[in-house]
Amino acid sequence: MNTTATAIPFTILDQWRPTTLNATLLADRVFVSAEVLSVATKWESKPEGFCCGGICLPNNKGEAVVTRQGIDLAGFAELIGRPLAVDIDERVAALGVSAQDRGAALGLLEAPDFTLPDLAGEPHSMSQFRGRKLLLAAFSSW
Amino acid sequence: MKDKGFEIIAAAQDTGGLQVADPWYEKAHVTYTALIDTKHTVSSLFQMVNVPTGVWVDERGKIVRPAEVAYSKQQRALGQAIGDDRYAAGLRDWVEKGPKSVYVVPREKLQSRLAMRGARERLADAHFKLGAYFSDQGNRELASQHWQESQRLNPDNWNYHRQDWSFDKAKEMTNFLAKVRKLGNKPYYDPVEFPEPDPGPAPPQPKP
Repeated sequence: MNTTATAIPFTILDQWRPTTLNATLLADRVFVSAEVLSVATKWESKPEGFCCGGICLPNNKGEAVVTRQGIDLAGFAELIGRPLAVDIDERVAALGVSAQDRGAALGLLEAPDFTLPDLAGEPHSMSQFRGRKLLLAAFSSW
Repeated sequence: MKDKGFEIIAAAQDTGGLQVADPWYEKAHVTYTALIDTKHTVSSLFQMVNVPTGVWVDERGKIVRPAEVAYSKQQRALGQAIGDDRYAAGLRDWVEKGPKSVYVVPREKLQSRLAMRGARERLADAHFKLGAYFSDQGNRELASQHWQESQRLNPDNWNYHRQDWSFDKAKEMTNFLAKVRKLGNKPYYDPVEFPEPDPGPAPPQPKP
């Protein structure tokens, strides 16, 4: 079996935010360097595990996640408790929301912030409306 | 109601034009900020599974009513009663009374209704984001593939279906009705959970 693999451009969506950097593909697995992981997801690979925003999660899978080819993206996603949807043919993967993050935010009943354009393309954030009561209404054209 | 410190943010969950579904909002003289949300950001963040859906957020940015059907009057469609006539009145009551309004959902109930989604739902959400990425790139076929995966993983989310069907205007209604037929006894929209109206003072007990 040929196990040599070259790095190719791969897109990682962190929620909605895409970053295209190099990754190594082996069969249906995606491996990235610690540097790529940090740029794409803001998670740092450290000796004790993976850290982001002052929180460190231990890597209890060891070399099964931090391999010789790089960090196994699916293994990493599992460790930090986020779903990973992969389109290997198109070289794109999406990291979804973690149950813990959502639980923490919703435990405080905090409305998550977002920024979206209006019809003229002007951006608006939910947080700009602090101090007023809001009905946030989602519509569709049908 | 704007002078009472109330505003509406309307987020269109599709690539089509913005069409605000409810004339009540215009009658209430509320200025609203109309936003375009092609990637269903709001649906994903607030766990909305259908439209029109409303969330009430107070002055401090806290959720006081979670996602629920936001028609101002009850509609009849698909042989089901949808929405609640009290929605607009409830909203006005909250704008007037704030945290004292009976329409503010108590904390414990809110937390259970905002409860974390399961692993399948979160994976469905991740596939939806992949689909939105491909749609953004103009690749509808790939977008559709991932949206179908979202639908398979979380068939109760109507927004997933709606987005996919919107690509094929000719089949849109046929696809929609076929899906509705599969509902059986399940509601197309979950009912709005409003408190029972205050029955007033108990009638005097007849003397024996």
